[in-house]
Amino acid sequence: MSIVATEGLSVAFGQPVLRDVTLQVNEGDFVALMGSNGTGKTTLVRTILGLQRPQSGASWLFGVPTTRFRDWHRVAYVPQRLTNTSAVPLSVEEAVRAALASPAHRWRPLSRAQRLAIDEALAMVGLQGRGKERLEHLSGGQQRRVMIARALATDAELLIMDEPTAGVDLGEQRRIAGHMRLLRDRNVTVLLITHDVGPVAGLSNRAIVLGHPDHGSVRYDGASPPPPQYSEHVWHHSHEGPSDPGLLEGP
Amino acid sequence: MTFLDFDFMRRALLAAMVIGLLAPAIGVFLVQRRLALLGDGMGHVALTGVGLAFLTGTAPVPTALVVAVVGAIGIEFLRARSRSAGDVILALVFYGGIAAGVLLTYLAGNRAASSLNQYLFGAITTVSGNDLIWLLAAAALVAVTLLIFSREMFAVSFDAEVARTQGIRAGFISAMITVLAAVTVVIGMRTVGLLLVSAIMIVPIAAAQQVSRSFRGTAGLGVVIGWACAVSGVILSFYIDVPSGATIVLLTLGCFVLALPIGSALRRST
Repeated sequence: MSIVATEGLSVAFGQPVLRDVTLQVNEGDFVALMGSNGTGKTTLVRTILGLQRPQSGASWLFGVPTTRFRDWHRVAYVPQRLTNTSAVPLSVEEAVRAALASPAHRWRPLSRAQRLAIDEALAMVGLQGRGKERLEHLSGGQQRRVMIARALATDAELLIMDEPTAGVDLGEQRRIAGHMRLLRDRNVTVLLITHDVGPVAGLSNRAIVLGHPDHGSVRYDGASPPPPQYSEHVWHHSHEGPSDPGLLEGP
Repeated sequence: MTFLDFDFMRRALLAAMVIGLLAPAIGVFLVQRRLALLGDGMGHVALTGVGLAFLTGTAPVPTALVVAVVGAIGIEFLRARSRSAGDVILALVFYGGIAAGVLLTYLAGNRAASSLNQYLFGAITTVSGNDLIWLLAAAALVAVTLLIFSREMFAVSFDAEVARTQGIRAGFISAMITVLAAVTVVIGMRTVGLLLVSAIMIVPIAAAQQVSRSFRGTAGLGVVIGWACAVSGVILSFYIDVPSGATIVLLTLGCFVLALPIGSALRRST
């Protein structure tokens, strides 16, 4: 059974952003979703997660149409934006704990096992004993690790991450790659948006490269890394500074 | 003879305790969602309810409750459906609310117009036994809803999209926060007044935020500050004969000013 599937998915915000995307992500896959700015990578994962309605086409999570999917505990999503903009102070532990909130646990307090899972997840990303600290006092790379800890604490089977290494130095990227390897070893299926050929993308066994949507968005879908003729779609833009989310990637 | 010998003071004190506890507990979610002015707007909308009560001769508190809740649902609906920016929609509803409130009160005649001030700025002498029953019932409802849904409300305030991917109905939870804010505003109408009640939702949280490191800590300390200021504000207004709402709000602002240097000292020491 494919973990993620889409068929003929098209999305437009006034003008086309994604066109005719058909893909399957299988259990245990570690997929690097690539493409230059404005090719709709973020829009694609948001559509897969049901956060964006497609103009046409359909998508499935764990074999269930996204619109009818209910087993959200099997999915963890880490968006690109960092969380240090929280208006109210937020502790590291609370940021992880928020990932465990769900209608299913409305009446019950967190179980011992869940509290242990939070501590373990923080330990696994090298932040043990730092749960009480304010999230915004951590570095950008450490905050990304907290977001990975969220995924580790939930036992999700599918992890979708949007640029976990944007604006993070190489040493920190290696560390994040190490933690992501833990997920891969747990047979978690990973769909990862990335610009870089760095250590995290290096974990992928598959690459999907998106291009401009004029005639079908998917330029390449196969083994990772993609052959060089596709890399120009990925790497020809600047790597300096915070990556531009792209005007076409929508709200 | 102390203030507790007066029935109206006992009622005012009870009403103040309730609003002091609840307002910051809701306010922390409003601050996190960057809707700090929402409570203020709900106060404007509730004023329409007060005007309607004057005109129809119904009890002000339940009428204001109904109008504020309808207004809250309307705001959420417009925010979800309309193409205008969120704050423009809020502005439309707020000004509509206060204008309708003033107009209805005027139509109801002179006696109503002269008591309008009590609703706008709060007065401890006005909490009737009947009001108190409504306030306590509404407060119990808000408290129970908070207990059940606080974790989902937290997740939605933190990141609504991510919350949706956790199976949380973010739109529903977000509307719930707005409705709870509307109910809380009406609970505070008698003691703090509709124009000032939003302050006791927001200012204690703004003060607590300076010194705490977590959401929970901010909410907890905010509730303590809100409660203490509401109670001492009512007592002060009895002894020095000043409006209770303004006194409570100035006390919370005093806490904020005190929290600023404490906060920066704490940050330097860590």
